[in-house]
Amino acid sequence: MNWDIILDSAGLYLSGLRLTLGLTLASLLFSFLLAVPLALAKWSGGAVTRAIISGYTLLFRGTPLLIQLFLIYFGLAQFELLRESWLWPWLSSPLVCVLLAFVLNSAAYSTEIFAAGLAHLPRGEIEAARAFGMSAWVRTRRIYLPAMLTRSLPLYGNEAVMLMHATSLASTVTLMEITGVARNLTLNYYIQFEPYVTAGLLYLILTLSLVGLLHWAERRWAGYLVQR
Amino acid sequence: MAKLEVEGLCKRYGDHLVIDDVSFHAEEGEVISLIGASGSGKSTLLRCINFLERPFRGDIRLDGERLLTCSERPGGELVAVDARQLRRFRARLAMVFQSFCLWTHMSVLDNLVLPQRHVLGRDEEAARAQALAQLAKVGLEAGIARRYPERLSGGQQQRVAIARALCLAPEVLLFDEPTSALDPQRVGEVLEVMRALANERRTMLLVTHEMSFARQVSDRVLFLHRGRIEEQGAPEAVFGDPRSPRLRRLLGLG
Repeated sequence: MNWDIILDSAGLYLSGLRLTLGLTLASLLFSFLLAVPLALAKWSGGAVTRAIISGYTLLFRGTPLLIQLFLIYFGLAQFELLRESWLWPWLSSPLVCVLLAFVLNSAAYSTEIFAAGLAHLPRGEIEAARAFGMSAWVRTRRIYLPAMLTRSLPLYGNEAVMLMHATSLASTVTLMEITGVARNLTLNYYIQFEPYVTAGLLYLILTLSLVGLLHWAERRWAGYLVQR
Repeated sequence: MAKLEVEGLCKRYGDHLVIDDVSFHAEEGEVISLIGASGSGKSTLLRCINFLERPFRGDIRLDGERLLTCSERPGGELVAVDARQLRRFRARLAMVFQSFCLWTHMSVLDNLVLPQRHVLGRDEEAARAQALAQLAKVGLEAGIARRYPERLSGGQQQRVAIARALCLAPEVLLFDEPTSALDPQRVGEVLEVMRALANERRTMLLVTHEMSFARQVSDRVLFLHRGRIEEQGAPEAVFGDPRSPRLRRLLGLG
């Protein structure tokens, strides 16, 4: 066993951990901001709105994330028009491409999770809000959003953990997050076991922290859903 | 001038006419019960008054002010012309539902405070004080304010729902079968609260199957059959000597 190599590479792992964490949090933040209005629109919108949003979520949930990432990072480069546009400095950056893929993919899953949370909101609660003369904005902010978020918290927690694990795909387009660091060590030192076990352990710690955070949030905000 | 006037109200689902040209009015302080068999349209009628259901014809007036409506296409359902007027009307006509319809994700206190804050624009402190006062009025202890609605019994939930309505100081209270979803042993506590409100001379519209209660508290009773008012009058007359054979059957008088 060659644990010395791992210990010597602690700095690399640390920067990998930082990148993994950054990718996860940034993707979660942007996908959340995208998914909430999409879910509300899908729930309350007309047939055309619903069809467009369903088409988007079907596309991104029906294909592997790795394919989506490759299409964005490698595939788009094929189009001359795009290469010459003002977008290109952005789209040629692996970091931007990775975030774009993660955000679009995770937003698709989150939209469906939130929309399902809204669908489970009892009709009477919506009617009561209307019957008391609340405006649509107040109803959305104080009734629909909190009910939707608390009801979808367990499923959304799963999605957050899966997204965190999925950030390991960033290593395929040169980004040195945890998996990328481990892969590099295997190539440089011809050892396979130690680098990957270490990476796995780091992911496990991240997962447990995330799960702990989500459980805290559930106790704090979704306690009313617990059956006694 | 009548407190609430309903004139020429018609409502249909598809080709089926559920409310067929109903007109009536409630004077200030009057308690009116709407009775009828299931499917007679009494709940729909109540829900048309605050536009939870859209009629396709008819006028609603509160203190003589008409709710401005128009239909988007000929023969179509009516919609409120001015969304703010509709919201104001709704707040003046607070509703109590059969299934309570409390907001389950917030505490009892928040349930009572939220409409006051956002509909009446009261400040937090005044809203809380009002909420606690109304809880006491419906016979609930202040400790209940911190709990989630679904942790309470049905009778307690319905009393919270009544307190929520009272917090808005509504001019007319609409009760939509308020005891139908309760266990039999919980019905009494809710009826007691409603009896106290009736004794305060509040204007109330009550859809109910509780005939003896309706007889005791009502100033007037309307019997609905197939979306029409088939008989109406003082409770002694309607319950004591009903003329409509269908009402006689509903009351078990043969």
